[in-house]
Amino acid sequence: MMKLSHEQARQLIHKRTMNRLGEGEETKLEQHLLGCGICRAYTAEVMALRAPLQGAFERRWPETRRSNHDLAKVLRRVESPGRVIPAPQLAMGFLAFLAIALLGLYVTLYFSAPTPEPAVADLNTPTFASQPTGETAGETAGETIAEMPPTPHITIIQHSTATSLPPLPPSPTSEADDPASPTPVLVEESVTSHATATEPAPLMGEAAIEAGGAVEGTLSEHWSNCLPDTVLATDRARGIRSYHDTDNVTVVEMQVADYLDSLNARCENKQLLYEVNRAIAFYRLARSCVGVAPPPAPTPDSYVVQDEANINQLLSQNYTVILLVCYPPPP
Amino acid sequence: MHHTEQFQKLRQTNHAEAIEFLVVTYYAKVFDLARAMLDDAEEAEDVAQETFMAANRQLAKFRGESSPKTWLFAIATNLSRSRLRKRYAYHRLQQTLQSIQAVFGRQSSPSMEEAVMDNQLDAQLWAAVDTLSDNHRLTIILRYRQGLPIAEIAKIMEVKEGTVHSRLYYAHRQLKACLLTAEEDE
Repeated sequence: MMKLSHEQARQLIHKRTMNRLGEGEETKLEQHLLGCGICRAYTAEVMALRAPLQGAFERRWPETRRSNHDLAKVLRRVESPGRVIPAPQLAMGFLAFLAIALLGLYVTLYFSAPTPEPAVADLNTPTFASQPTGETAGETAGETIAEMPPTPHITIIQHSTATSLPPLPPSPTSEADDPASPTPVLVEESVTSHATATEPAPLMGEAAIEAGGAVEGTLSEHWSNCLPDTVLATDRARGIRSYHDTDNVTVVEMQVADYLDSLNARCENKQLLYEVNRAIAFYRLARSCVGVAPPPAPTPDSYVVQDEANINQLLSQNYTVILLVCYPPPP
Repeated sequence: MHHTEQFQKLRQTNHAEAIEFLVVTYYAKVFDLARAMLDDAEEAEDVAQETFMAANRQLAKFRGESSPKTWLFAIATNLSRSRLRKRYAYHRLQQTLQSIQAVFGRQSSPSMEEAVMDNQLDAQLWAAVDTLSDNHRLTIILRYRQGLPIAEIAKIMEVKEGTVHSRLYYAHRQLKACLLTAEEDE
């Protein structure tokens, strides 16, 4: 009798789990298993996985039954040529489109209008952008939060450790502070000049907080009730945003309070929301990084850097990611 | 009469009855498959309907080389995969976050996904299944959720049977490795 290769044995093992082995195949497999520890181990693995997998799938996606009424509806839809949309539905669709277009116009105008106290100028916060090519945040120049298009898709807020993040550009120059030049263009110019510096100094610890200004971290009645206990309004947040209509990725850094304000975050039914019911979630990369004293990073720096690279890559897919940087709050 | 023969007979005589037969016999199964692939009942409903619309359009081209169920599953699989590709970015983000949480041993806020998890083993299994690529996950779903034989999975996925075996092998090994890691972490 010809000996089975491991590959052939595996195929028979798969067939055996469905009771589809012929008598000859069963004998061949048994003989192979007698002399092959690897395939015996694999058989045990498959058998051990089979029942739990079937059970888990069944619990998650129980078999559905359809009533005749349901099936008749499906059949009507299937047989209707070209998926004809009923007139009332079409009218509703048009009205919905019109409403969305008007809302979009309003939001665009709202965000493009110069605000009396632009967040970036007030915060004196360095901002820069990078292309979503997998490079780590903070390598290229770009735009400010005041210039962001108002259509982020998803917001995720993550905590990270100050020590493990890639260096940020140095504090902005005086143009950003100049009340006479709060326009995005001026800010962008100043930021560009930071980003072209050959070796930007890391902005860490107290320096970062000082850069934020004294009024940062003020609790807002709009969202303060929804701020999780583990997140402080004074925590540093590094936000990375990308938008579906531009290749640019924007990185900004400010305190959580200001970031939430910039998003016009609000507290509804104990949920932190912005825009039209977009939820804000907080994720933390390091344990207990929120607090008076920053604990040492629990993982190698490389992990977080690598993670940021991944996130940057994801940003090309229309996400908004906000990383919370766990600088210690001011004493 | 076997479903396949019954369908073949109807297909040659009455188009409308053949489609009705397909819907009545296979709609729930196609929906189940799409839901398992997409993990989203609403999207699965869309895919199921689109599957039968496609079948309605292509009925004349059906050569009868496979069973109607395999044919419909293949259409549903392609449609679901197309949707999965569109959701690819979202999945990548989720996976990144899950990997972050796994590395740091943190729990995320309760999600729908977690709500349906019956026990810890389920949770571990889902975490392991989530690490599989789309192709490997689909193979495992077709095998263990739909209970399909290798030959049928190969037809649905439009690959050779050997490829299905190799995907199953890889998926089993990866699942086992993930579960072992989870056990060691406890």
